[in-house]
Amino acid sequence: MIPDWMTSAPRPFDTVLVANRGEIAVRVLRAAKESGLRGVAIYSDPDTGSLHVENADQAVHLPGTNLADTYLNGDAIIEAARSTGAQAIHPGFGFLSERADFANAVKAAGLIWIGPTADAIDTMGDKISARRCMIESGVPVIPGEEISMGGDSDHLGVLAAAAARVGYPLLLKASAGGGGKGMRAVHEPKMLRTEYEAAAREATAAFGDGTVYVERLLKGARHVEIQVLADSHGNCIHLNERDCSLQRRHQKVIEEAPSPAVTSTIREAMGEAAVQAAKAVDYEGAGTVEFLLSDRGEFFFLEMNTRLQVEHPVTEMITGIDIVQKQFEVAAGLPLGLSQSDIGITGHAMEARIYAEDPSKGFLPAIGDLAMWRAPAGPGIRVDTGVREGDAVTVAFDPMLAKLIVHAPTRTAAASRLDPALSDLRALGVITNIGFLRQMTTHSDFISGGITTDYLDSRDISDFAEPEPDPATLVAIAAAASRFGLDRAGSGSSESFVDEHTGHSGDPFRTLSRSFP
Amino acid sequence: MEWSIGESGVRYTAKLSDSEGTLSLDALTRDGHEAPHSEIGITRDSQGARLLVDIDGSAHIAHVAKVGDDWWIHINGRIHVVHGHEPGSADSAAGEGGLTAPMPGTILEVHAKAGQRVREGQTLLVMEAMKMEHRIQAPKAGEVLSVNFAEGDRVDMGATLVELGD
Amino acid sequence: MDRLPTRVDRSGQDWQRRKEQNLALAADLKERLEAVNEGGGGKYVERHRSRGKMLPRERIAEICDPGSPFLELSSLAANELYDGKAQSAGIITGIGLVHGRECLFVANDATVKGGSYYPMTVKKHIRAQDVADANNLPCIYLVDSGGAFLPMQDEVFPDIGHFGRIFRNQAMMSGKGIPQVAAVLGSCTAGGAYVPAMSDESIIVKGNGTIFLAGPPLVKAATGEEVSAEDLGGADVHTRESGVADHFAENEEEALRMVRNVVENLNIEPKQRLDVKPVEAPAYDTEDLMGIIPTDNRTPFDVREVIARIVDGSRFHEFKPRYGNTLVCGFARIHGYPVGIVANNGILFSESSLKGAHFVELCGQRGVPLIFLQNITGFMVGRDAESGGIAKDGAKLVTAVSCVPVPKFTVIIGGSHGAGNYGMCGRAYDPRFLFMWPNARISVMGGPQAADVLATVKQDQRAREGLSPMSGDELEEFRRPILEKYEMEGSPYYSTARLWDDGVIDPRDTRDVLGLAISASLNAPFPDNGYGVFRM
Repeated sequence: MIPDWMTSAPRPFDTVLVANRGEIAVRVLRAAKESGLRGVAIYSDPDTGSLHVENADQAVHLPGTNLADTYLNGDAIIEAARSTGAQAIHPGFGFLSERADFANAVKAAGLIWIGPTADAIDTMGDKISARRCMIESGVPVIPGEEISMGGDSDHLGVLAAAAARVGYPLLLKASAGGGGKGMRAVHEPKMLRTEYEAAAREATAAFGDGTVYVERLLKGARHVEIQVLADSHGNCIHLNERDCSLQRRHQKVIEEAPSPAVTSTIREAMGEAAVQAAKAVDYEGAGTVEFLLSDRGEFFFLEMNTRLQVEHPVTEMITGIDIVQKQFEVAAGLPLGLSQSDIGITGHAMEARIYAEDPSKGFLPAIGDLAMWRAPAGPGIRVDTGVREGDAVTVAFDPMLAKLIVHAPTRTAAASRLDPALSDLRALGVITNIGFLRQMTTHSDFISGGITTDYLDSRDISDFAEPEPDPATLVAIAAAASRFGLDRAGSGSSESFVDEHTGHSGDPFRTLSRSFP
Repeated sequence: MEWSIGESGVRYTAKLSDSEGTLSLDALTRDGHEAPHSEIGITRDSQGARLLVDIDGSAHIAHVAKVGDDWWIHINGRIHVVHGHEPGSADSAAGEGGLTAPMPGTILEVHAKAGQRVREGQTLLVMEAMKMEHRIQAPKAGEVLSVNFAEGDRVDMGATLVELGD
Repeated sequence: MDRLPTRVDRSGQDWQRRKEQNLALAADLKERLEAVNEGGGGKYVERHRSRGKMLPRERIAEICDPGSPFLELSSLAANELYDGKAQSAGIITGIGLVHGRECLFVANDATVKGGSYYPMTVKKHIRAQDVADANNLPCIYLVDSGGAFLPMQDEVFPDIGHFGRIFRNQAMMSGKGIPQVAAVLGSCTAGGAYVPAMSDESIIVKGNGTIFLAGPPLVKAATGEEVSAEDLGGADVHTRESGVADHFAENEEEALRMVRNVVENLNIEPKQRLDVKPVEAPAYDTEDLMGIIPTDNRTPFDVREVIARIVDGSRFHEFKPRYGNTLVCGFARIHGYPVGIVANNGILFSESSLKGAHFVELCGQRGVPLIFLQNITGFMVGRDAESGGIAKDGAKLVTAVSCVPVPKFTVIIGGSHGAGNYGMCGRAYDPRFLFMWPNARISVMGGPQAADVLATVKQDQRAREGLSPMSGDELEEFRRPILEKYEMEGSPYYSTARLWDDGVIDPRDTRDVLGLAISASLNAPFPDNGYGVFRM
């Protein structure tokens, strides 16, 4: 049934398929439920029984072991939408979210694509065309150029020449890369070859494209991005900025809004530029325009993400706007119903990304079973997660477990809220970056608000090592827990039931559930 | 039962005594030697995975979970892993000088061959797992005894990649 | 109890090769199991369903407690026999949980030749009854069968192990207090009519269920009387007039629900108590088994690596580890139950036999169930062995294994050849259950040895006849059919088709299957043990 708010829309729908998994699928499926829509999930074998499946009204299993068979299988996803009666597809982020061909296929199948047009994705997805488009629209860009790396034997020479024109230090990027993949910093000419080879390989392995883009690496700059919202009626506004300067190898660690480095003058100019950028590609829906902000207050267009962003919650917290709900409205053809003057900033929000990774081992992804997962709660605390206690964390997917978002009246108050919230997050069974995040967010450099994008990569990670624990306490706890038999009881559950007939709570006829052979 | 904490190889043992359900730490050894310790008393909470920990008269709550031989402990906002070492079990099954795959993945590059001398920190192999490249580096200087994989090979977690001798 | 160390090399080439082969064998097993899952398949299943009937495995699942495991026995019986048309021998047997009590199911599959009894169907039915008898399990018969397969009447009717035995077993078990319950969900004609008739309590479903000694065509031929099947032996007649059945069910669902109600009131004694401990998963990954089992049964491997992946916490208290070390004996736990494990780690010598006999006696005295992990080419031969008295030492092991009063469970994890099969509790020694791994081989001796023996006999014969000895191609031609015969007959699928075992299992399921088997076996109280332990 079409929900009331959508009945007058030009393209109404009542069922939305979420072509994603994990935390973002949960977020979108819950938003659908809140909006009175039916939510359809897709899942592959390792995700059977996962949280996003639980949050869906209906779930479609996609067989196969490769991502290409499952979450990247556009045909199967469109078929899943058809078979479940979903009229709209929300791609989340990652996977197929920035694939113009998929957006087109969705539309060709007579379904609503919750995202911008394929043209907009195409233009912004290719760094060269995005850059050209921005120059034409008068949005400032960083010096740089693209080199096509065909079978040409002298491609390194071509690259070196381009690098010399752009100037060191520079950033090598695979044109089709993203999320830190296929991206390498080159600080001096002699490192060019090594870094190029690594970048090309990473990009080819993942995206099948060996094209490389060289641009000046702005040292001491901040990563500030503007959330934009546009509808199909020509309205386009921005929801202020997010500061994502705290990064490690181009993966964001902490995001916050507003940025401690952005004055209202910069905000206005940057917001205007972002709206200009969005309008240049006739953008529709929610998108993010990323800028580098130099210490002198100049900003340059970095790229536009034509999808929902991981860190969108911080913007939601300070503006009070549900961005996913807005995506549904725009997709249905409704006008935004907001003008720029309606958008204010209330307080300060921060987001910490909780990863299954080991900071002491070069942030190597970690795996295991979440024997305990207890998220913090309280005023101004929001946890967006795709896992729950007992879930397995595998190598099959991205290691992000959750996002912990705090909101408070001021930046200082938000930071003071973040650390206790992180302390309260009891994630046992899988190594996480929680301890590192605590060290980071209580560090004076972070508190002072002066972090730039090269901060973490120029620091020794051991600077953020957790304090040494008292071995006596830990050993005593481990020994006591063993003595109390807590390992037998299973976490959280009381003594298992022993029935009179068997006298054994572990009787396999009571504990196993499948048939043999 | 011996215990070690995190990555440290130091072995501890704890002697506990029971008094009306409270276990007190009587003695702690560190690599076989008696070590000083705070006054610690531990009581079981009615909640399965929770312990009340009294350290020198101040009360703390610990949440614990057992995974394999490890106790995962959350106390005072920090998460710790205490490994249990069973008598009789073979420690570090990888053996001496073996470098094991930190996770399942694919070998991208092999930079070492048997018989080669390598310096500490030298990259021996590059493997790809989860989106990123991981460099497998020599933990110490020494001679490569064998390289067990070639480029393009898939490796399981824990697989011995390179044997390193002195 | 101390944990077993592991010394496997997961990165070696051997590991990969073994893993590939064993995974392929497991996949082949899965495929075979899936193939028999649909019974007669196609139109037979369609016709069956059109009558409002469920397939036998569905019927069992409907009766069993939701979410409980089912241990099916001999799923691949009659595999490749009878033109490959008798899937699972047309009868499903196994152990499932009903109201928290383990029950033995025997369910005819009417989609396979109308549920009629081939020789292997009879053997499987009787084997299931033997399992029920030995383990004191209530029997639930889901009857839907036209009776004996007449073209093979000489192999199903007259002998001691044939059709008649089924009813005799029902009477004897009933006499021992082992409940016999039948639900008539299809026809029970002729001999089949005795299954519900011999049961303690029976249910019949309206319409589909009929019981009669002779069906309408035979009645017409014999007496001229014309009568419909329903009037002759339907649910109404038998529950209202004849009293042949006790409960009238409107439809199949109700009949199956009634079975649960019957079991609820059986007043079953608590199981034999053992000193159980909380369950601990093995410390090492069960998946490793696939890299441990060699590609060739002749390749030796340390059986402790297998034990470490079957027992709780990989903990093993080895008995006499320094003596007779080609047989590994020791105590462990499986799903919390204490067990004694006897596992081959090479050929059996006098010492290993004596150690085995000593350990088996020990388990008998302590009331600890015994697990035999069989991978044996036989007892040591030769002058030294014979003069050392290997025959009498082997006999001690065989005696101990035969007489020990605790439940025994055998898993053939490799080769099973010669008298080694006997000393290691082969089928003839009444293990409560016997399972095989897909890589297992069973025959009186290995194929090459058999070929050598027969070739030697032949060469001697030729020598007596004054012929020149065979050589080269001629010798190979002589050996080849022998090798082929042993290869075919040694296959676990050849064995399981003939009910020499209770099923072929995925090695990775061994721990769970043994756990279920032990749990089921505890329904029968342990008898007393009369002797002390002889130190061998």
